[in-house]
Amino acid sequence: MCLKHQDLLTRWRHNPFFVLEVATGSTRVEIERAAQKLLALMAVGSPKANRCETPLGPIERDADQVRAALAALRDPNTRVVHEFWANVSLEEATGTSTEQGWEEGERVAKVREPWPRR
Amino acid sequence: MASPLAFWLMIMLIHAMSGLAPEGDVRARRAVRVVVVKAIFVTSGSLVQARAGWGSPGFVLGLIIYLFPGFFLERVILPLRWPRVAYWFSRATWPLSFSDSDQVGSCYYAARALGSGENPRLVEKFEKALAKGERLHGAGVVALGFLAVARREPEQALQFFTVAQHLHERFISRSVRAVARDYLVKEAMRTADYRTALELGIDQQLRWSYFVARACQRLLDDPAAPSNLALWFWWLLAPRRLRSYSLLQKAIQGGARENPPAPRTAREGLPGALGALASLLRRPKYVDTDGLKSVVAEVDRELGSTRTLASLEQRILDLGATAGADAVLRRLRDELVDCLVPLIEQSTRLRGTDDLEGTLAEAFLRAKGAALRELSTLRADYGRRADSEDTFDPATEWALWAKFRALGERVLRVDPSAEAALFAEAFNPVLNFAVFQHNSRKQRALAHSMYDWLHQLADSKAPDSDLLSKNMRAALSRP
Repeated sequence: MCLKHQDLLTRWRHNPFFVLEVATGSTRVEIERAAQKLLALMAVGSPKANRCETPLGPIERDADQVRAALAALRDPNTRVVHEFWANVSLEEATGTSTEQGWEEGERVAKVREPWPRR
Repeated sequence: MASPLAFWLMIMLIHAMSGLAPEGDVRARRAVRVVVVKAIFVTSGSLVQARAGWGSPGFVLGLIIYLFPGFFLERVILPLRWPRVAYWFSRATWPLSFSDSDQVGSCYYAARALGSGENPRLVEKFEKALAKGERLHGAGVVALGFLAVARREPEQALQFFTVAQHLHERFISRSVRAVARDYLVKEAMRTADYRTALELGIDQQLRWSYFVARACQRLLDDPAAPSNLALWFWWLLAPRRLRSYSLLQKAIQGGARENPPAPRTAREGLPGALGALASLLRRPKYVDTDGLKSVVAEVDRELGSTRTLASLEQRILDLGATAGADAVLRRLRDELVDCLVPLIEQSTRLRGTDDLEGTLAEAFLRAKGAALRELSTLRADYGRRADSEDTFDPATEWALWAKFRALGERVLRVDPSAEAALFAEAFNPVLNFAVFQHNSRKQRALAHSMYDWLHQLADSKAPDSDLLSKNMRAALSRP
């Protein structure tokens, strides 16, 4: 078993804009509409409503998180902060080959059970 | 006797039911008694065999298993992952690879045979068996580590293995220490922390960890790195060659892989800077201090730029927000620090340096503060329990000490200049508690581990250092 690092992006991934799947420039009406639509889908048990993709990876969401996201975006003082975190660009110009190299390095050093002997 | 098999089974049953060594640091004494008792049984068995005329192969096989149980445990039973079999086999055959009691040593092998996410009741059973031990030494601590792995608590497992790695040789056998060290080396390699893997394994010739350390020298372009021929040589001498062949190939290719370039994004401005930060946080085990510095510095620059300020002011106006731009920026920086603190806490590769600035310096400071607050709680608990002479069972005491030590090391990692302050905070309560454990509870291994850690922090010229040295010698003396 390997040490699994705590997911450091959980809070960022649950940015209200990501939870509601709305753009940072959306109007208040658009945000309300998106939230109500999600809540209605969740009420009828639609599986698609409970999962969505974000720029930082997929998330699971529930009705409480949708309501919390809506409340956060209704307040302009918190909305402006969340907008900055939501405007993230992950298009990487470089780094892919480096990551592959690191992951390969991890793989070749991987020690599977049973434990290494002396 | 009907057969050699029955003879050996009877002997092993006697071993399993009787128990041999008393609790405590009696490794040499236990070894002598095991050898003497086994010699008696082997001699009597041989005499009976000669008289009864048993077939030799069965008797010889039983004899080999009886005399070399460690070999069968390591090569047959542990790979099959039979924890109950490992436990009773160890109880029945008295391997010499540990210095703890038979009960604890058997739990050690059983714990090693457990996998991650094992049946919780089975894990609990061995935990209770360990908790019954009056004293735990190296094998007991390593067993606690493997039980933590089985409970899917890797952080606690690492703490136990780290403590075991630093135990005095009086309290831990070389083979048990090697098991703990190999786990730490494996973990270091998983996180590409080649320096740590190198430090752990470089003194352990002929072991797997030594080959890994030599390979890491090549990966780091270390001046002392071995040649290709030498690397092949160490690979051939190390165990598990098939699994480490890929590492050999990578090391021969060589090249500095310690500090990969920080990720860059195609988009400029704050979104790009945040994207680079998110990329780092997605792969936290590859993050090093220099990489993190450059990414966070970029985010800081963008947050302080006039473009960002203008954009922020416009949004505040558009949304009708009442907070000013400065307040929003402060909150953004605060949330950025909150984002970085968990990374600093969990990554062993990130170290505080004198040239930290801005948000990153604040994040390191906050991580240090969090660790000191936790330490303060444990420290106060040690002080109170030393005064009231209150103690938990040895397994719990080792868990608390492992956590305390890990927190202390974390403080030193995020702020290397905090050594004196940390020592001043920890000295009295930890020393008093260690003395209580040493004198009243006879927990010499635990006490020595505490003295040793404090001694490393102490200024070598201080009188406290002499006191700690004296206590360490006392803990090592024969009871």
